[in-house]
Amino acid sequence: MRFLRDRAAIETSEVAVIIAVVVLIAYGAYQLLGARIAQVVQDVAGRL
Amino acid sequence: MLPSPSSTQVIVWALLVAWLTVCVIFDLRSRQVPAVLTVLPLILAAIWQLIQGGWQLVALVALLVLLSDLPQAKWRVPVACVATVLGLSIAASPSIVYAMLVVFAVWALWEIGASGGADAKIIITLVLFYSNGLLFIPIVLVGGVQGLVGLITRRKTIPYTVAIALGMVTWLWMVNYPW
Repeated sequence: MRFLRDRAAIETSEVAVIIAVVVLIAYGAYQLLGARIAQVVQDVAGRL
Repeated sequence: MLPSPSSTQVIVWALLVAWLTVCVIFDLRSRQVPAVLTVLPLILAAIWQLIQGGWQLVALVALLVLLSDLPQAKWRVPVACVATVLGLSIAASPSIVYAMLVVFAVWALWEIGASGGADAKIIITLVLFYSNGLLFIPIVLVGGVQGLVGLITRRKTIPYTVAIALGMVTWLWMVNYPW
């Protein structure tokens, strides 16, 4: 099992910065639009 | 005054911090973490999650481990994506949904070579143990700060296990002592 055998650990790099920015944007968007998204999902579920 | 945690909580936190510290030491020395320090905790966390009733999360992790051996490399991430979507449809609670999303993201980052296997297994272990994907946020943010420091000083010498350990401690603090 390749995943379990892999013992490598990486150093932080520009990838870590990009991931942090993406997660921050996603979390911010969820905080801003979370209630609206839930409303849309409920509307769709209601129509179904 | 801060509320005092139970003795069981203190023991669990001490064990977690000790485990993460040993992982960091190995990482600092050789940029590798022995399998016994990652696979064994992963299995124990999976058993704990099964006891807690989160079999869907454990099933997803097991499936992703198996998918990493799929002969057609280009199909691994798409198939894992489909498996995760199916997993989300049977998730028992919102916390399991977040946990599944984080498990998939961490595995996919490893699969495309953006993360080490040891780092990925440690994060998945923590997610399995707490069945909460939100702990990924402080880990990623600390990793981002480390990355920025590395870019500014033009040195890439900080192992990601440091970000995992510091992020985990931060998350535990935020959960137990909210502002």
